[in-house]
Amino acid sequence: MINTALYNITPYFYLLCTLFYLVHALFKSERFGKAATILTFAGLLVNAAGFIARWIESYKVGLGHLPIRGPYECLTFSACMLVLFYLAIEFKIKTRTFGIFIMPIAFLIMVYATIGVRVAKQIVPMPEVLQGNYINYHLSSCFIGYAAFTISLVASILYLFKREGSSTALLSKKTLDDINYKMIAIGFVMFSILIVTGMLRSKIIWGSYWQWDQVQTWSLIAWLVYAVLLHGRFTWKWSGTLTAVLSIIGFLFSIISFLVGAGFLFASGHFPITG
Amino acid sequence: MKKIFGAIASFLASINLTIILLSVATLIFILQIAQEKLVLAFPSWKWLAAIGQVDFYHSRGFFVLFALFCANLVACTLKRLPRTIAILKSSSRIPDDAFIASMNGSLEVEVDGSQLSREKLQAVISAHFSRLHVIKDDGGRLCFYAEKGRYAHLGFYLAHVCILLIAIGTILSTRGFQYSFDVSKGQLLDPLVVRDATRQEKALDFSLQCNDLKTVSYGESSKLKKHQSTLTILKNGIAVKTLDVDFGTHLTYNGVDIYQDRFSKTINYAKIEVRDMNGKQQEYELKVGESFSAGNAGEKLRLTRINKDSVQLRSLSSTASFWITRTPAQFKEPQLQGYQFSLIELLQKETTSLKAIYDPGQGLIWYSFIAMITGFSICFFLSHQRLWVNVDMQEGRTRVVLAGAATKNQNAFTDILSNIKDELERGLKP
Repeated sequence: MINTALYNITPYFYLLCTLFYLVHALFKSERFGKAATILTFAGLLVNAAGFIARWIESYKVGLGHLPIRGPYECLTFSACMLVLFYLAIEFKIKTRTFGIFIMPIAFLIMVYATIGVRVAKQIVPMPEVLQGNYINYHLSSCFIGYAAFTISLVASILYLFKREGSSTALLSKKTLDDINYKMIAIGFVMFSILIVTGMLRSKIIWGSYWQWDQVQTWSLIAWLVYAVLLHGRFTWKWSGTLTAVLSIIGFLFSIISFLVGAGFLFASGHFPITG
Repeated sequence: MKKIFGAIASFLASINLTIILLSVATLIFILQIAQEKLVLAFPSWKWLAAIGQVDFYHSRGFFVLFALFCANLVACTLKRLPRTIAILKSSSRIPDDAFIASMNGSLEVEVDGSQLSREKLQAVISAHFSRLHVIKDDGGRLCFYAEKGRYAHLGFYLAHVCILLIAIGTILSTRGFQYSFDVSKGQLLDPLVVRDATRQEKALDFSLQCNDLKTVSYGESSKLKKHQSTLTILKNGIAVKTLDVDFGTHLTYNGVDIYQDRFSKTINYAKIEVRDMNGKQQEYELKVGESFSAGNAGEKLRLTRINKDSVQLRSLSSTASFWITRTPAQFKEPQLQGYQFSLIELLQKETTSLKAIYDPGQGLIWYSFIAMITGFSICFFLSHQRLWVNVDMQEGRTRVVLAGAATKNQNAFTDILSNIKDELERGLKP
C-alpha cells in the first residue's frame, strides 16, 4: 500500500525537522532554520499525500471513506493538521523557535501510529451507523480541533515556564499568549461543529439531540471551559497566566472526551471513534 | 420598582453571571459523570455518592440553570446593542483631543504642506481601509473617517442569538415524533401509521410501500456495508417519490423523514381467518404485537405469541387469551364467544427496519448552527478597525493626526498606523 509507505517515511521528516530546529535555536544558524522549514513543509506534503493515497486506496478496495477512522487514520490525520497549523504560525509570526516544541509531538504521534502494537494499519470498513456525510464533518472537525488545542496547550505550558526577561529567542510571552488565543479560537469553532454535528446524528441514531452520554458531556465541559476563557478574554481582557491555566484545563477535558470516545476510559454509549 | 427592575436587568446582563453559570455547569457536569470514579478514589467523600443518585439533567435545578443561562444570553445581547449602535454611528464624530486620547492607537506626522494633497492622503488611507469619507473640510482643517470590518460586530449577535435558536429548536423538536417500524418486501402501509410523543397513534397523509430490500456487502466480501430499502411514497394511490434509502440517505415527504434503521430481520407472520356469527369471513396477516378488530362488532384482539404450529390471541377488552392451532385440535380450545378462528399458515418474511422522524425543530437547528459557526468565526477572526485622520494646515506645515481603534488584534492595527505614517513621511509614495 502506497499510503503506509508514505506514512512510514513521514516520521523521519519530522525527526529531522526537530533536530534542525534545535540546531537553529542553539547555534542561531539561519541555514538550519530554513532547512528545517523546508523539511517540515516536505514532511507535511508526504503526510498529506499519504492521506490522499489512503483515501484513493480505500475506494480501490471497495470501502471508500474519508481516512479518519481507527487509531492509525486518526493519528496520522491529527499529525498532519498539527504540522499544518505549526507552519501557518511560523509563517505568521516569522520565528522558527516554536518548531522545537511542536515537531517532536508530530514525530511521536507518527511514530506511535506507524510502529504502535495496538495500531492496525488495514483499511477497515466504516460501520453502517457511521456512514453518510455527517461523520466526515464530525470527525474531521474533531481532529482539527484537537490539533489546534494541542498547539494552544504547548503555548500555554511555555508561557507558564517562561520567566520575564529571559531570552527572547524562545518567543515572547505576548506571542505565546497570542498563539494560545488564536488556536483556542480555531479549536472552539471546530469543537462547536463537532458537538452540533454529533447532536444532529444522535437524533437519528438514538432519538434525541442530547443523550448526556459521557463523550457528549466531556466535550461540552471542554467547550464550556474554553467558552469561559474566551468570554473572559473579550470582556475583561484576560490574558497571560489565567488563560494559560484555563487552556491547559480545557485541553485536559477535551482529551478525556477523546479517550472516552476512543473507548480507552469509562464505558460510553458513544460509538468508539477508534473502534 | 424601577430600581428593582434595573438591578435584576443589570444582574442578568452581567458577564460575571455568564462566567459563574458556565463554571457552575462545568463543575456539576464533571461531578455527575465522574462521581462514580471519584467515590472509588476517595471513599471518605460520601457526599459524592449522593450526587450520583440525583438525575441532575432532568431536575428543576438544571431547568433553572438553563433558564438563567438563556436569560443571561438575551440580556447580554440587548445590553450590548446601544454600544454597538454608538460605535457604528461614531463615524461622523469630529475627533477632539480627549477623543483621540481615548483611542487605542494614535500617531502624529508633520509633513511639508506643499507635498500633501487631499487626493494623495486619501489614496494612502484607502490602501488600508475599505470605507473612507470626509467629516469636515473647512480649508484649514480636514477630517477623514475610514473603517474596515464594520460587520465584525455582527458575529457577537449571530453567535448569541443562534445558541438561543438551537435551544428553541431542540424544544420544538419535542413536539415531533420518532417512530420505528418494520416493513416487509412488497408490503404497503396505507396509510403510514406512527405513534407521536404522547404514544398516540397517528395516521399520516400518505402511504409507504417497500418495493425491495437488500443487504449490500463490500465488494466480493461478506462484510456488511449497509442495509438498503427501496421505498415509494404514495399519495392517494399515486406514487410521488421513490428512493433507495440507507443509513446515509433518507427519504423526505411532507416534513417526515424516513430513515433506514440499523437492522433488518426475518419476522414470523401468522395468517388467521376469522368467521363471525353471520358467517362473514375475514383474513388477517399479523406479527406478534399487532392488533386487529374482529368482524363487525369490532372486538379488538392482539397477536401475543407465535409457536411452531399455533398462535395466541388476547382480547384487549377482557384480557382473555386463547390459542389457535394449525393442525386439527385434539380437544376443543375455548375461544372468543361469537367468533370462529382458524390459523391458515405461518409465514416468514424478510423485513427492513425503518424510522419515521418528524422534527419541527430540525431546520431551525441546522440553519442556526451554520449561522452560529459563521458568528463565531466573525467574532474571533474579524476586527472592526476605525481611523480618524485630522489634518491641520498652518504656515506651510501640515500636521496629520491618526487616531483609531480596533476591536481585535491591536498589534496588526498599530502596524497599519505605522505603515500609513511611513508612507506619509516617505513623501506620500505608497
